Amino acid sequence: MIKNMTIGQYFPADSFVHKLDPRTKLIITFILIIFVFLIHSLPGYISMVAFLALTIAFSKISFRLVLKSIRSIWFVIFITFILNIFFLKGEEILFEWQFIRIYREGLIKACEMAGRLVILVIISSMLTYTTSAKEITDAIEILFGPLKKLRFPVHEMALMMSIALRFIPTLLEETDRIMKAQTARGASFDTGGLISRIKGMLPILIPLFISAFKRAEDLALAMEARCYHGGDNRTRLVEYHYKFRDLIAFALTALEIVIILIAK
Amino acid sequence: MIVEANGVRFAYVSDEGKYTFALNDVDITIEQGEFVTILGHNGSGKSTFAKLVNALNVPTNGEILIDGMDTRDEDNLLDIRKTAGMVFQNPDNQLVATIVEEDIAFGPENLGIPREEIRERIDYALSVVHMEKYRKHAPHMLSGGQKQRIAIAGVLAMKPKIIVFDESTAMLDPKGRKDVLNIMRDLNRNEGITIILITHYMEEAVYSDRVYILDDGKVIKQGDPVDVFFDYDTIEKTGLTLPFEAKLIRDMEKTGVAIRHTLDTEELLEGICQLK
Repeated sequence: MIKNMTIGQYFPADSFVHKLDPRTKLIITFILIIFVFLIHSLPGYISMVAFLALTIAFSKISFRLVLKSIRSIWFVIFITFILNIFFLKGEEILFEWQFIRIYREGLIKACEMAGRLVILVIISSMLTYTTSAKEITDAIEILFGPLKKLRFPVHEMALMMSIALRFIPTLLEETDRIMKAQTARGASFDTGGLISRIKGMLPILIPLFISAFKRAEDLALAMEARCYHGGDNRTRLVEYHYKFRDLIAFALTALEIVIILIAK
Repeated sequence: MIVEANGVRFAYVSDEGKYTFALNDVDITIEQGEFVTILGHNGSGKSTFAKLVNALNVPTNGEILIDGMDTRDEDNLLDIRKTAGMVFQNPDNQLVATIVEEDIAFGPENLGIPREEIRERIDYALSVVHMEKYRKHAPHMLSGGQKQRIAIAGVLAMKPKIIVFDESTAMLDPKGRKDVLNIMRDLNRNEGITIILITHYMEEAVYSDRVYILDDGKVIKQGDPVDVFFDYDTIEKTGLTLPFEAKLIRDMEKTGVAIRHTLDTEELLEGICQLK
């Protein structure tokens, strides 16, 4: 189940978007997410879709993967759509049956909200599809670097994130092993009602937690043995430099923002 | 002397305030370039000693000097850890990064070494452990033995004079164990690194110059592996399992056959063939 999730997965490739500086991608993602909420007209949406289509085309990420990312949250989109269509009141009634009334305004709003959600999911999955976890944490560490002056533990946060990502596969493997061990002792995880299923999770969660704490302790010791002493005087193996292609990406984003603002 | 432990005691304090000595008056001296195995059963204090060498623990009494530096002095901490690297038991719990080369870079990055030099050190470390092909791989895709070799590379990249292996082969399959042991031998012979191997498998001591046997926090025997292993009475007391060769020789001697003491299979075979 967990292994089939596509959000947050990285698909390595040699493309324009992959080669962009992770900071560029992070900043553009952030800007786009804000501006999605400022779009209120059809031309605005069309330009945004065109922008995303261009990004997908230059990322060598298959269109099927993009659809897959939407599919994983289709239920949320569906609920938003339903809520908007039935509960928003307007002037022009399109459809009426018993107590159900659908207004033109409601329909438009519902389509708009669903469209926005789809666009948001595509934007964020394009970031994670084309940027490795390490690149994202590095970019966060550099971009938030100035906060260090305010004693905000930027380096520690970035390290925590990357360690968490490093241990996801390890803990997944462990969960699988514990489940098998408990099944061998007669535990069952997929029968009975909701309550008994939740109770059935306990024999997995407790050993998993204990082992996670043990791992954390070991890792802390191993890091200390390798001279870890915080972020001071640390060098970084990978250095990031803005290139010409980053300029192009920023220019295109600026153009998109201008279109959105004009079309408003 | 690269490692010098004089009258070292190390105490754990229980919740009720009771002291338990994991190490009790231990003297161990190791010279630069030696391969030393420290043998002992669970609870003998061998892992406690390993952590003292890396200054992860500080002795309760006595002193331990690493390349002349006292581990009790906080100012020496980074220099000691740079000098004495450590490879732990569980390969999964000592890798920090999601890509092999980034994990190897972790130590040098902490030491503030310039980028170009880190790259050179990664090349060097990967070639010593024969893992050049896996530079860009994710560690969780590798086997236990391969992960342990990456952990060794991560230590090597800090250019240590000593590497302590704290039961580093205990969780590996036979193939992985053999690979890691061979790398230890190569590190000792070709790179001149002092190796301290902590283990409870006596057969892993085959490459070592000297063996210490710890029992209940005390050194009860030390010397050349052959001399130590054939002191049957002492070995029996510690509950360690003799390697096959030593066991065979012991059983033959019991039946009255005199044969030369050796831990080498070939030499043993030769000895048996020469029997009348």
